[in-house]
Amino acid sequence: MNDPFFVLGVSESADDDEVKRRYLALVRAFPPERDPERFQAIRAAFEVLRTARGRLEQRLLRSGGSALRRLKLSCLEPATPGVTGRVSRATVAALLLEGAAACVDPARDGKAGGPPRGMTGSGEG
Amino acid sequence: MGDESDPVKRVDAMKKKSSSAPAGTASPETLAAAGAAFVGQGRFKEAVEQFKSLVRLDPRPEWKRSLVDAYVGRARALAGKGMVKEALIVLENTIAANGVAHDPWLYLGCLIRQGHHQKALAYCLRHGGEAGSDDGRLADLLAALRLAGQSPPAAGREDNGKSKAAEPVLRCAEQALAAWSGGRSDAEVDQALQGISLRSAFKPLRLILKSQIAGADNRENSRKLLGMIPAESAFAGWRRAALAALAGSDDLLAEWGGLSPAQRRYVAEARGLSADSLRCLDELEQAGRIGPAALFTALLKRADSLPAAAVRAGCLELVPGAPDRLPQFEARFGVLAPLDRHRVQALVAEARGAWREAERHWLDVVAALDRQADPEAPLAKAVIYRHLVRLVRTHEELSDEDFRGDLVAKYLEDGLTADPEDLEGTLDLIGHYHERGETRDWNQWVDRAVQRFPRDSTVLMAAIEAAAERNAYKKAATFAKKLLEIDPINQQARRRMIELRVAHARKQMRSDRPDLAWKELAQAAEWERPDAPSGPLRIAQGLVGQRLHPGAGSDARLAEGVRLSGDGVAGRLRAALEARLMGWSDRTLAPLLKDLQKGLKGSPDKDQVLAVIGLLGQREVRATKGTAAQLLDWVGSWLAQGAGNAWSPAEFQSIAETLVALKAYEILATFVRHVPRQDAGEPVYRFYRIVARTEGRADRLDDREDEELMEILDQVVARQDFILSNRITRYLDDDETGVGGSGGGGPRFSFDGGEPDVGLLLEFAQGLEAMLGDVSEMVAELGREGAVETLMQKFGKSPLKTMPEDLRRQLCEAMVEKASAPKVRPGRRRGRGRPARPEIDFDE
Repeated sequence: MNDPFFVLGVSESADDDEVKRRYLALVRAFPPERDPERFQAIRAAFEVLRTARGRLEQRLLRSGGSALRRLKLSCLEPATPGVTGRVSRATVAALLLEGAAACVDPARDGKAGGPPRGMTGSGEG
Repeated sequence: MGDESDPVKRVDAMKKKSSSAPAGTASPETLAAAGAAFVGQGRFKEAVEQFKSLVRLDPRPEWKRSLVDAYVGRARALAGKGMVKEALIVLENTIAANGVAHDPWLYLGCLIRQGHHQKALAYCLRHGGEAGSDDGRLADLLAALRLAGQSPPAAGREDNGKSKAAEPVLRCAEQALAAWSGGRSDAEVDQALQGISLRSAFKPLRLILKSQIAGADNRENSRKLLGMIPAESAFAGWRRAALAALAGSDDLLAEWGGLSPAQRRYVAEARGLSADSLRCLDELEQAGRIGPAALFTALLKRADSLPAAAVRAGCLELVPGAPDRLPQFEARFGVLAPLDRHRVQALVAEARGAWREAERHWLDVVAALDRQADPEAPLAKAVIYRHLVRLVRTHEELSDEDFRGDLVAKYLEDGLTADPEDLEGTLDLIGHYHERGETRDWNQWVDRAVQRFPRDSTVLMAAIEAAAERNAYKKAATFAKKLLEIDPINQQARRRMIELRVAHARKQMRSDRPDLAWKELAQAAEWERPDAPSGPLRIAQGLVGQRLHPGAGSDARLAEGVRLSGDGVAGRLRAALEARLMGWSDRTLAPLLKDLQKGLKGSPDKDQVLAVIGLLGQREVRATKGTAAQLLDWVGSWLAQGAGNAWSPAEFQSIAETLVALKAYEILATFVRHVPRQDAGEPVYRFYRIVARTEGRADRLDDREDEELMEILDQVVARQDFILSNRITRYLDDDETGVGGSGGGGPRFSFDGGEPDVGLLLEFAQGLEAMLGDVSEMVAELGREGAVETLMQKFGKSPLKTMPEDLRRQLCEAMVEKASAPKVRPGRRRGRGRPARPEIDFDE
């Protein structure tokens, strides 16, 4: 199972109220009829973290990964808080060429198989 | 078929003889067949050589086509191995005079992979129309290439109508992209996007830019827009990056490892991440793929640019997965506190499967917590003790009871001392003592639980059971009432209370007091729900009623009870059983037995057998001496006739277990004999065949059965059937015979007719004298009944464990009698000589 703190998006010091609040918010955002798998994961994480005992058990008995996750999350913060950046043409071009290569990937079975209409050669080279 | 008929083998053989000129020694048709066979076998290189030779001899169109097919096959194989450059060289051979490749998508794929974007664009324009054409996939590819800034070389431009028509859309798309990328206002970008029709190949650009403008504020809408781009589009990579850029940080982190470098760069730019953050994330991601040690090193390298506390915490998390990094950790961040150190060492030991070592370290963590003033420390200790309970239960090396005592109980109790509010732990401990038959501790913990959790239905149910076990019916009723206040529809509590009252009514009947029994049953009826009448209660009322007020009313009650108890043999047997338990004589039982006999005609079907087995498995059958034998006498042969039904292993096991509990080994053997031959290998059947043969005694196993049992055990463990594997282990420990047993070793007395060891008996008798003081205390604390039960258990684990139960009970009662003699009220003694049977204190 994934780190339940990660799944619920709460810190290890979260209390009962915070865990419950976050759980309800996530359940509203990902109701079971729309995203059953995610709902199950959220539900399972809540069951683990709903009590102080459960949270302590996670902290003491599992090697976790929460600290590492927090560290990575800090890397995802914008360099200047609140300011988003601009995407360069070069980056878009790289993405498009990557996408073009992927959509005609010769190593991919089936995808590169059928010749486009009107383009088939006679085969007599 | 001989070798000569296989063209490939013939050609291979010829090649061995003369690799220079195979074509000269075989007919062209043979060579063509061999070439086709090579293609079929995926040996394209050899197929190419074959057809090249043939075409050189005679350029027949079919051989030329086969040669091209072989080239394409070879190119595909090379591309599949990532040798795109080589594949492209091979494919150049398939280009026809008019410049069209035999497999254009493969050719285009290779061109783009090799970075020949302009050539690819030119090929598309020259041979397949261009953006805006009716071939969606090609138009999509062209649009992506054009937007990526690729312009076709002058030679590749076809001045056709479609090309011209697409130019304005392309310009609009480029303008919109430039405006968005240049940070122009949303309105300007939006205006430029107006020129892109949703039917054009640039539709994905429009959707992506719209989603990015709507941004995180309208995430749902943005997702919907992006969801309209098909996964096979050349814009799909950009779509995934755009989705990631919009995602919350947690989702993005989860997604990060699956993003390509270009997608990560896109996300970083869109979200305004610093270049250093991007590098850091990439490094950690890459190191994480290698393992905890590599990640630890990567984190330490980054220690100067990241918050020190965060790096320390991250590294500490990694140490259990990379224990050799502990010295490095301590050199960098200082020596770990004892608590952290032992915790890490415990986790490391667990990862290695060194359970004793893990246990020691966890106990060290508890000791470290004892020294802390942290308000969370008691809960932390409780958590660790529960963890230790789990470890002891799952790892045999920890649960060696002979040397280490009952560690499960110890750790559970320690955990409850640290956190008395732990309901789950309390119930676990109560269940543990109950299962082991340690009545004194069981009662003690039930009492504590009731005080601490007075409104918990599971605790109250356990309290009912504990009170019932002590025959304290009033107390049980009090708990049941409390339970039904909390949980009015609790069927289990109602059923149990009815059972208890009916059981007591039986005793009144055996004492020839049908009047009291009638009252008792009236009280039992108070627990009945009008919509769920109880069959056993109706039967009991009918039987007592026949004694007190014979007549149609009582007969009708009895008939109703039989009907409610499943009718047929099961219902009639229930009635006969109840009468037997009430002490009816054979003469008074006769009409009921006659009625039962009527039902025993013909072989029973599965439902009938299972219903009767369910009745035979009930506690009152086993609890009353001789009852099981009596019932089997009535229905045993009829039951055995049902052995021929088709039983699933689970049904068979359930039947077999009841028969074993009743020691009905002959009937069990009949069931085993009827197992179909094709199912005889099933471990369940094999095991009970051995049980039936040895009459449940492992000491009667012969060598062959011993070996077979080990084989069965291996099989059931392999298929993770832990129920049967535990059952086999219990059988081997001789649990059900009461002989031997899994308890501690030590000397045993033999009561099977042989000479007991007089020395041992003498030694034991001296010990008994010393015990009497303890017994007095026991009586004062638990009452006579409780003291007798406790002594029964103690002797059950002593060298007297082999003593027949009746004899053992008499001994215990005598001890209790002796120990409590001065305090016993005169009225409670029943006479001299044989110790009195303890009275049931119904009004405790």
